Amino acid sequence: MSCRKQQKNLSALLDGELDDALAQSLSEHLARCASCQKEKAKLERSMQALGTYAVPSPSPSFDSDFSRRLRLAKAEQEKARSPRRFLLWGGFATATAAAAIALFALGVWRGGPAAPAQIVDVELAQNLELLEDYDVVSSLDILEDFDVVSNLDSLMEDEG
Amino acid sequence: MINAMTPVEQVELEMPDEDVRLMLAFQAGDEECFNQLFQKYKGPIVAFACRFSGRPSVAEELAQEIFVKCYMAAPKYQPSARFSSWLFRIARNHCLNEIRRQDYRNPTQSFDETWQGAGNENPETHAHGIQIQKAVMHALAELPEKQRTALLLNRFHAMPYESIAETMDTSLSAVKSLINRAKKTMTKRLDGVLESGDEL
Repeated sequence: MSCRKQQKNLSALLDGELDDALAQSLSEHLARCASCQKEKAKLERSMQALGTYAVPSPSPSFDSDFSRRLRLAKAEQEKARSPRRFLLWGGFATATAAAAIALFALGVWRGGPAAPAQIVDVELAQNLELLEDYDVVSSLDILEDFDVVSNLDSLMEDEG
Repeated sequence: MINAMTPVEQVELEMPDEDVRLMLAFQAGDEECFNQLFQKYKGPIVAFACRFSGRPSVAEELAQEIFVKCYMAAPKYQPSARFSSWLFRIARNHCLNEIRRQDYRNPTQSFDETWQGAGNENPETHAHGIQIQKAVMHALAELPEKQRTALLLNRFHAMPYESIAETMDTSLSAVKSLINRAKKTMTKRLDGVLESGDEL
C-alpha cells in the first residue's frame, strides 16, 4: 500500500478505531517509512496542541440561571397552549351556534303549515300588480260609458 | 410464562446505559433523574458550546438553552441510541442554528478574557502558549462544521466513531473520513506555530 493510502488510516490508528488487519499493515509500514513516521509525529503534536484548548467550567450561577430559564420556557409553553385551547372551544361554540341557527331557519322554511293571514299576505304580494291594474281600470271613464250603453234602451224609451 | 418488565428494566437488560435509565425515569415523572443528567453533562455541554461557537461569553447561555430543549423534548425521547448521542445532537443543532442566526465570526474576540495559562511559566512561554491557543481556536473555527463537530466529539468528549455517527446521523466511514480530514487540516494550519515553539 502506498504512503498516501497508509496515511489516510493514521488518524484512525491513533484513535484505536482501525481494524486489526489494517492496523498491523500500517504499523509495519511505519516501522520502515521515515516520511510516514514524520507525518504521524506532526499529527500527534497538533492533536496535543488541540488538547490544550482550555475552556471555562460552568459558573456557580449556572444551575440557578438554568432553573430560571426553564421556568420561563414552561410558562411560555403554557401560554402558547392557552390561546389554542380558547380558540378550539371558541371555534366549537361558534360552529354549534351556527348549526342551531341554520336548523331553526330550515324549520321555519320547510316546517309546519303557515297561518291563513300569512297566506293572504303572500297572495296579495304576489298579485300586487294585478290589483293595482284593477283599481285603475275600475276608475276609468269608459266604465261610466259602459253603464250608459248598457242602459241605452231604457234611456231611449224614457225620451220617446 | 409472561415476564412482565417495566420499560426501565427492559432497557437495563437490552442497553446497559445508566443515562438511558435516568432519562426513562424522568419521562415517567422523576425530576430528580433529569437533575442527575444535568449535573453530569453540564460541564461537557458548556465546553462543547464554547469550542463549537468559539465564544466563551455565550457558551453558558447556549448550554442552558440546550438543556431546556432537552427537558422539553424528553417526552419524545426514544431509547434507541445512547443518551449522550441524543443530547449532543441537540447541542450541535442548537449551536449551529445560533451561529447561523448571529455573528459568531472572529472567535478570538473574547479569548483574552478567558485565557489564564498555567500561571507559573516564563513570559516567553506564556506568550507562546497564547499564540498556540489562538491558532488552535482559529484553525478550529475555520473547519467546515461537520469536521469540527466530529473532531470535537472525538478529542474532547472521548466519543467512539460509532457514537459520533449516531450523533451526526451519518455513517461510520463518513465519520472516519471527517475526522481524518479535520486532523490533516488542523496539522497543516498549526504546523508553523508549533515549529516556532520548538525553537523557544
